[in-house]
Amino acid sequence: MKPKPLILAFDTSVAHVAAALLSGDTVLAKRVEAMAKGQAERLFPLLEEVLAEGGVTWSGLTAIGVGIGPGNFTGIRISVSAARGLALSLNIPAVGVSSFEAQAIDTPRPILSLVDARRDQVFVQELTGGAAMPPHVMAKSEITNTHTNTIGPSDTVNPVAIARITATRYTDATLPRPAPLYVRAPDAAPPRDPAPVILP
Amino acid sequence: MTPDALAALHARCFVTPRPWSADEFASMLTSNGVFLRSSDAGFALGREIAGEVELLTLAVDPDHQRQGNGRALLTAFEAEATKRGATEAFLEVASNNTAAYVLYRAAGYTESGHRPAYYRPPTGPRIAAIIMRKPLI
Repeated sequence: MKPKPLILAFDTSVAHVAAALLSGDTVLAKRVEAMAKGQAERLFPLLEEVLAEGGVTWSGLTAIGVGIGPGNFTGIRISVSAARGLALSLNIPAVGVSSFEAQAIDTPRPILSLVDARRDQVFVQELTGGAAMPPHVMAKSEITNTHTNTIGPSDTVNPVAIARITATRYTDATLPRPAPLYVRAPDAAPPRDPAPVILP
Repeated sequence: MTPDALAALHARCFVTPRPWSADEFASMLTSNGVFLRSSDAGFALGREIAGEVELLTLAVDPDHQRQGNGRALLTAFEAEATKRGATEAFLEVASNNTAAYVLYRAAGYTESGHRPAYYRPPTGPRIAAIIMRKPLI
């Protein structure tokens, strides 16, 4: 019998550090800690705890799943860079999963998936079941007051959903490496020395 | 409605895309396949060609918005389009026009394309256009 894939997924795209360990259909461990600051320092200790709770080690993992936002600019970069580093060092695939998809994992398509964008706005992506349409930004009040099929916005991202979606994708060798999903241009002015480019 | 009345109402409704002039409405109304549906509150302009209809513009007077007038005009537009043989409807909506987007989505339109930086507002960054479609039969 083929061993069940063992997937570690995590997310720091909103004010939390969240991680889950999935073996086949079984959730071995799940941790969500609300936190506005210090996610970078807390992420790896939390991942170690999740692995220990599941009774596994890094070398036993089949794939990494990571939340790519949209959400907190710095938070997304923490997780995405961690996932890429782990994938490289463990020589296993890493899969980026958006918050749009994660929250709508068990929802029939088509659905309008909403993610909080602050400033009375929401990020909007229509999930059709076919090719994904690009997300955009819209006024929150109007879109959340309607009776069209919508899901969200939520102030958390479920790491188990990220892990489950990762389980369906990690064998796809053509999958791009995880990259942050920002939707909106950053508020901060560009630095004099531009930030390092995220490789495709 | 006359081209002057259409242009006057359009100017009350739109900044981006820019409102159309009376001359533009007059010339639009005489082009092939173009039809107008209007009410006391606004109007819808469509163009049907070879089974496809495009909603060229839909305007509801700002004093009469949020009362179902847009929905009624959209229904009238679709009814006329179907009568003319259209089986599929398309439209473009600015990605920041949430009220219109929500109306179209509630009426059964789904996103079928994106045109980044499509509309150029008088000030500020360009705005994306969302293409939406709906099968009419």
